[in-house]
Amino acid sequence: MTQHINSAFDAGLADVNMQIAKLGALAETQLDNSLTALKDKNIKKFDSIIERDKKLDELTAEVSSSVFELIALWSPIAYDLRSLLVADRVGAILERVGDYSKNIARRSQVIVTEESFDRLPVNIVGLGEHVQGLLHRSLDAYMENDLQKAMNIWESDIDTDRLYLSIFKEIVSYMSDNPDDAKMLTHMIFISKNLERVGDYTTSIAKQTYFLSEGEYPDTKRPKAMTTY
Amino acid sequence: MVENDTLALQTNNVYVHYGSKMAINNVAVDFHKNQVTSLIGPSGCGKSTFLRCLNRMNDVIDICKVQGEFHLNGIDIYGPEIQVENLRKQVGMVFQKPNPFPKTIYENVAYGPKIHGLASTKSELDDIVKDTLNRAGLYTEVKDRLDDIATGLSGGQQQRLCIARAIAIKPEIILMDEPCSALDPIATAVIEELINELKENYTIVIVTHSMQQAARISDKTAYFHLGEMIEFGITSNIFTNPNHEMTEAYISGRIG
Ligand SMILES: Nc1ncnc2c1ncn2[C@@H]1O[C@H](COP(=O)(O)OP(=O)(O)OP(=O)(O)O)[C@@H](O)[C@H]1O
Ligand SMILES: [Mg+2]
Repeated sequence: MTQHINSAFDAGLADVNMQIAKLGALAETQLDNSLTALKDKNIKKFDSIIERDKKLDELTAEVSSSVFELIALWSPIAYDLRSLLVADRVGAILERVGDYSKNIARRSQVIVTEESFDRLPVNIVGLGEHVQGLLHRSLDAYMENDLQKAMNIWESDIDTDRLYLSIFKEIVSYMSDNPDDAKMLTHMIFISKNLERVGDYTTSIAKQTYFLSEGEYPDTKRPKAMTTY
Repeated sequence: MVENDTLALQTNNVYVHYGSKMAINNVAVDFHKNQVTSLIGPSGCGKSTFLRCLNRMNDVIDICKVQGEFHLNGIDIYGPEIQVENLRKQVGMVFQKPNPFPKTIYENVAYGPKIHGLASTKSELDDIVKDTLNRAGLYTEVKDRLDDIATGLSGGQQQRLCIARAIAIKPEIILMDEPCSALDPIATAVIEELINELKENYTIVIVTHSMQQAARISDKTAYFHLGEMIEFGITSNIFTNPNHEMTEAYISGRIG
């Protein structure tokens, strides 16, 4: 799309994009850090992850107020309006992703010190890496305004569902044989569920990217592996 | 609702030239009853020219040649049996600059109904004037000064008076060429609200340079560029997701 005649509006839009880029990078880092700390049982790292979530909240608020101001001052329409609405929503999504990373850190902190932790067969990190990939690709699709990339994310959510479902079943069956580990296993279910939710949010980013480009939402129902776990 | 039953004015294959210069190039727009249609586009794209075709205001411009089909309720308005005065009674017009007659407020409104024989007694005429001023949202402001000269009113009041003058003769269609361009936001909002009420009874075609105004008040919007109609559609679609890149560039203030 061509430039605006009013360059100040373009400058405002560029600012918002910069803020989102920062926010996205931070959200990715938070997720990566919490997964790495879980994998490495790096007990010291969790506190800093939890602390840094505030920064994410701040950046999200910055995006929101920039968007609000641009809408108030410029009365944007059509693509311009969509791009601001979508920026605000993606900001909110990234804040949620940050919350899940924080929650993963909190729960991990509790379980990595358990002595039976290492004996667990559960591939949470595998699910985490899958979701990390989705987050990265969905942000790419959004920043590059790439409809095809966005649709690929939209369609690969089913893989997240399947991975989560198999982890869930594994944990449940393990739990009945090892009732003493119930508390830790419950945390693990929540961690997996958090990751699955992050996966959902990446499809929301994809959906917003589609809306940005097309002015409507994709009407195909997203493939689902399950609904009730 | 079958849309065809509700057509007030149909145009097709419209070409307008000023001398050898083409101002309108093959335009077709249908105007539906009780709808507001906005004509938007950059300066000089032919909005006023096209609007003036709709009540044959271009007839008075010597070098202006109008071709194409214009049907008002199915009747060709350029047909040989059409009397232009009657056409202008059916298709009224409000201009960019309020242009009340240099007469009293009362006479400004009463003039049209009088010459078109819409009132047979003075008290009937009084009623028409009062009713019309009411519908134009002006009555309470001017009821004590109906015999004052109209040019003493504020710009926004004058414009509402001109709208009153236009609707006093009960037209079917009201053409408005940038009616709010000289008005402040409050006077503009009053006129916009009035337009919204008027569409209960009239079909309105409005030229505006305010995108927000077009978005706020019109059901349909037509985007013109260099004499061509680039896009015509439901206003909410045009302003959220236009089909044509040129429309998008224009409405969002981009370099086209
Ligand atoms: N009386 C006239 N004689 C010659 N050319 C004319 C006349 N009126 C308009 N034109 C030309 O026709 C073209 C369309 O003019 P028109 O006034 O319809 O544009 P417009 O879209 O109403 O512009 P604006 O938004 O500035 O009012 C312009 O190139 C204009 O110069
Ligand atoms: Mg004009």
